[in-house]
Amino acid sequence: MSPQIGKYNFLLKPLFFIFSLLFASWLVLKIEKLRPSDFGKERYLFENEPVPSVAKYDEQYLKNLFLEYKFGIINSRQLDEKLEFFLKPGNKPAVMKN
Amino acid sequence: MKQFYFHKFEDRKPYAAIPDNKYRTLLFQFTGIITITLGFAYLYWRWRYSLNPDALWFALPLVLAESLSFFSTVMIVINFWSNKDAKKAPPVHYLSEIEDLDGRKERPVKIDVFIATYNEDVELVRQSIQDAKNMKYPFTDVSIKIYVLDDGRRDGRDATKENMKIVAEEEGVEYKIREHNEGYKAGNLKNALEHTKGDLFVILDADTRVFPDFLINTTGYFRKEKVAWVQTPQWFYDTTEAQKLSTIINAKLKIENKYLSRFVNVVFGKVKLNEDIFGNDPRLFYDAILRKRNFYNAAFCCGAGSIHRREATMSLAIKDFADSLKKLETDLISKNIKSNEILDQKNILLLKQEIIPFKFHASEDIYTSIMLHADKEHKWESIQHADVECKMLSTQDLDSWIKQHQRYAAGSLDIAFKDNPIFIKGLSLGQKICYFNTIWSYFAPLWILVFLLSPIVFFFTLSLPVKTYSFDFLKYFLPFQLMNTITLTLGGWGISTKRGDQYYISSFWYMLMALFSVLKGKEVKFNVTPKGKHFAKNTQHILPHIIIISLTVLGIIYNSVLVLKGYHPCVSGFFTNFFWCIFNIISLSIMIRAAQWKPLETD
Repeated sequence: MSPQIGKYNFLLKPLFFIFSLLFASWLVLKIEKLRPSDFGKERYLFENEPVPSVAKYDEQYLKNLFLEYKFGIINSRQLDEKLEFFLKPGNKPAVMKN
Repeated sequence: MKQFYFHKFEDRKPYAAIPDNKYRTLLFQFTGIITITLGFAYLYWRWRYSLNPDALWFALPLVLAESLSFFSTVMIVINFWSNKDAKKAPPVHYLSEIEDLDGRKERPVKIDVFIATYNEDVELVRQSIQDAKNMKYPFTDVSIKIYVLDDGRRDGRDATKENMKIVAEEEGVEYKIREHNEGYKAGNLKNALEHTKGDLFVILDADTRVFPDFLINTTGYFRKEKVAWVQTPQWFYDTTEAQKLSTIINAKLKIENKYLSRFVNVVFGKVKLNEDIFGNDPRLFYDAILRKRNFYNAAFCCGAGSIHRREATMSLAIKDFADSLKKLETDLISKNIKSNEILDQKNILLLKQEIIPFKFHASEDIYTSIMLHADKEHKWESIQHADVECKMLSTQDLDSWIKQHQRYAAGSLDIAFKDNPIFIKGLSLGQKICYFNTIWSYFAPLWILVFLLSPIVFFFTLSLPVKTYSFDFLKYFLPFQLMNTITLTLGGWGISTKRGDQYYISSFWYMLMALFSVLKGKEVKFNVTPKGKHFAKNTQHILPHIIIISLTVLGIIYNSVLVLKGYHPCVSGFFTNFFWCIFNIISLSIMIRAAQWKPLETD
């Protein structure tokens, strides 16, 4: 290495760190923009499960409700309240509004 | 000659230190920066977007635990940042090679070797003495004196005890005792320093057996006048050997039928278990963590296997002495005491106060290191020597292992609460970070406990700490974890970390107990680590592990039923937690295996 270039050696380390930081920041920005569709045919691996029909939701919701009651997560009063809320026209659990 | 269990390991050779490589260091720094950046991005996403508002009681402790754990990662990257092995130099001959004579007459250096003992088998100490006597040195006029420092006072006064004094006399080495045990090992060393004159002194434990070149390879560093001590790696040469699974099965089931035994050999013969079952191999610590602290001049002394400059150790003692006099004077002046009385009180203190070279503390080695590094006047330097120069015995049962590690933890935490290195003047930023890193690592059980309990909480409440285990979770979490693994692999290049990782998780309970005992203000006692096999009843130690594993397995069964019946509200959450649990169970189970471990009759 010529002495002319050699005298700038002290810049190598800071430049290396700046490059590393810039690369890491670029990587984060790339990751932020990632979507399942970027994976082409394999996108199904990352997509959320397909949204089931309203009827399917109803069934699942009731199943979960009874299961929670069965395993003691909610008591009979809470079960009653939730059923009443579910059966009232126009009132649907939060999950069904998605 | 008395036979010990470790005699069969005498032929074991120590590891060779990992050669320094500047390109690997650069790659580590590159991946380290990426890991930290990705970690910040992941945690930003976790705090900002992922918390489940319906289960904040669960989401907040977990994200906090992840953040604290990430802070550890940052500290490790800083610790591993670079390597700066000290330049090796030929052994010293004359005093002028290691310090200014200041008008004194030139003479060959004097070296003392201290073997500290308390209650160890005298025949075990004899082997350490013999190995110390076998140390080579190229200059015959350099005085090398060996001292057995017996805090057990086994000089024949108590007929029920072995006689250490006779062994020392038979081996032709000096024997020193004191009539009390004040200051534990530090007090024992202080007593030795008061009665010896070596310019350099070596600290060995009762089971530390030095190699012949110990002095040749270490004294040369003292040519640099700022070097206060050199620590060599502690190599445990008696860690448990890997056993064939087939041998274990045959021994445990007492299979005598040769066909059945042969069948077991064919099926399980390739699988090996129980290598270093107690996770005693400290190579990662000495060859990576402590060695890389040379870069910050922050490698601390670990006691056995170290060599010290007397002047440095004594300078600290004198500084402490002067400080206490100054403090007394300031206190008395503030109380408007007459100058005559101040002088009297100072004289009383001068007569009463002892000069204490090593801090009287359960972790005297690290505490003294902090104080020496913080000495602004002398700016002492320390060196972590890369090559193994001695061999030692490791703990051989879980009970001893726990006591030893709890002492390390409680000692370091006690320093953190009483004399935190972050606030000590005189330490550089790098030194503060490195010492804080050591202390911080003992807080790990706080977040490890959260990581162990989180899947159980999910299994039994069916609540998620995150809104969902979605694509976003994967895209932030996986790259961070991947880069973290690559960075840590580069940092500890060539060193197996499997057992260390398992023990990091599974020792959570004992470390937590150590933390609580320090918080409660309990005095940290210096427990002498038993040298030998003591198969105490270990079941009590693994109760927390058994409880957590049982709850985890129950949770998995319950959730599997829900998934199979189609009732599970979050199947992706179940699978994520399931894999997390497998990792937890493998880590915790090592302690259970260690508690059950005994050498096979065939060994």
